[in-house]
Amino acid sequence: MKQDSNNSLKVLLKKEMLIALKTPSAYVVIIVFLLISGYLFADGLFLSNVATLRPFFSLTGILFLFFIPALTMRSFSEEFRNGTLEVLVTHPVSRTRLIAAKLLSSYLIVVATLVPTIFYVVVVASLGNIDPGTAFAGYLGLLFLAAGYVSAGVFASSLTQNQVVAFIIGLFILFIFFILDKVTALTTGPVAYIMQYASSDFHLASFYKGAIDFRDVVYFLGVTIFFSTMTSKWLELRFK
Amino acid sequence: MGLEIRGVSKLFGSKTAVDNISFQINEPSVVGFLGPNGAGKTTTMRMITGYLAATEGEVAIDGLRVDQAHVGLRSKIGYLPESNPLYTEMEVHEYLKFAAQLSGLDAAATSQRLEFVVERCGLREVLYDPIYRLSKGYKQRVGLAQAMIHDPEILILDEPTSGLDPNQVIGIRGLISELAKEKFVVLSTHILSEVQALCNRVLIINRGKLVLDATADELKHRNTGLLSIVVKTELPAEKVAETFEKALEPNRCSAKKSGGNVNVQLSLKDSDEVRERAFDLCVSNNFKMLGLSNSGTDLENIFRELTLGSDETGQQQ
Repeated sequence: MKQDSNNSLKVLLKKEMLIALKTPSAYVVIIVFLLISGYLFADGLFLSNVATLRPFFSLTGILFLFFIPALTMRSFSEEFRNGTLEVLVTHPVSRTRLIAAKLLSSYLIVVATLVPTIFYVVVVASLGNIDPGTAFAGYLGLLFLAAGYVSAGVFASSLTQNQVVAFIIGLFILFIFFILDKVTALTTGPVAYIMQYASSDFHLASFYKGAIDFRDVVYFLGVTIFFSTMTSKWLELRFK
Repeated sequence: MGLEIRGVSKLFGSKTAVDNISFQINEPSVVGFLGPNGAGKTTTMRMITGYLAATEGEVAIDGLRVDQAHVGLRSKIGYLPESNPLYTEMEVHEYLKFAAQLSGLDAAATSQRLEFVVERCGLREVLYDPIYRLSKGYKQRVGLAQAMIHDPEILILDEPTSGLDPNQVIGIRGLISELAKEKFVVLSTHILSEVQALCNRVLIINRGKLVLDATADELKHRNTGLLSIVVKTELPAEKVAETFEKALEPNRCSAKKSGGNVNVQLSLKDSDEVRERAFDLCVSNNFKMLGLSNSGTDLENIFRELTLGSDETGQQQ
């Protein structure tokens, strides 16, 4: 018999994952990410000759600028292009659940992609002493960063039916968040402070330096909620 | 109860796609939605399904407004969009199960309904194939199966038989007729014979306006019966057509020659008197009348009359 539609998030997520697993481009993106991050990690490690994970976390933050929009670019764009969104939204599914499924599926792929990088931690740990707490904080930072970036990437994807355009918009948005604390020298006073606070890299750095600060958590959750809300509002407008 | 469309309009920017349309469907039936391209059929269907919001007016199902009610109301509708969008990476059974579960069916109901639609839509042999590998006809049937898998009260089918071969068309029409015994079916089509074969009621929409809302019976009593006369004569078809046209003044007249016979199609109000005159005409012109029959309503003529001058190259919204 007919169940409550509370099940719909699970059903949607299952479908997202099923399609992601059947799409070659997702594997390509993941493999390229792991290859580049592995290369940069090893290269940096032997150059600096210091057993630290900081460069890894910092580099991953930069790689995410490309990796995450590449993963999220198809989430809504493909539904628009194929017209499948018309089938989806005429089912008893709320817009919130629809967006949540898109976010969660991309997020789960990012998390799965980070799992093999634990190998790097093992390598560094075998070469010298690392603080497990700092490593943990660093990963936590990446997980929070990924949430914000995925949300922005899905928003970019909701703007167009062209995946390449979605990727470029996503990259552009993330790049602005990334660059803000690097250009604070251009200005002074409260504006510089605001720019620094708005920068994603600034908050990530505080994580991989070992501090789990409430303000950083609030920042990333804020970014995630902001872009999810934007996606929801935009989709609402589209069907008006 | 049922489906009610009250004064619905839709504007895209300053362009009016649908202009103040109202109709009700209160009993299980097949309602045919006809109109030239760009007339507003798809837009109207999209508003019924809740995909698009109406600019004015309201769509209500069982008294509940589609745009205001809980999304759960949508499980009462099964929808096959015009372009038949599908997740082509998925296998047929995966897609149909997804559609069923999304409408809130539990595992037992899903497998039971899957069995039903697979049987009725003839999908058994492609059940485990990825959708991208299917022919257009199979894809269309998957789309139709998707629309009916959750056993909805109302089926909105935008050109359900497009892309099917004649045998499949007959099969799907049979299925729709059967479903209409207990469901409200609204279908759009370009194929006028389909409307005559299937629909209990015809709605013709032109430039966003509803220009005809008539039951199949009402149509039969309009001035546009289709009389078919077969005569044996040496004269060319055009001459025969001309003779009938002059004497009977039909709305439309066409004639085709095959072998020694000419088949004349006259669009006019059928009556005994007309038939008598046709007979006398044949006698006086020395046409040997081999057959005279009423081929039903000349929907083609009604359609042309009501939608004449519309922009046939218009884009569907």
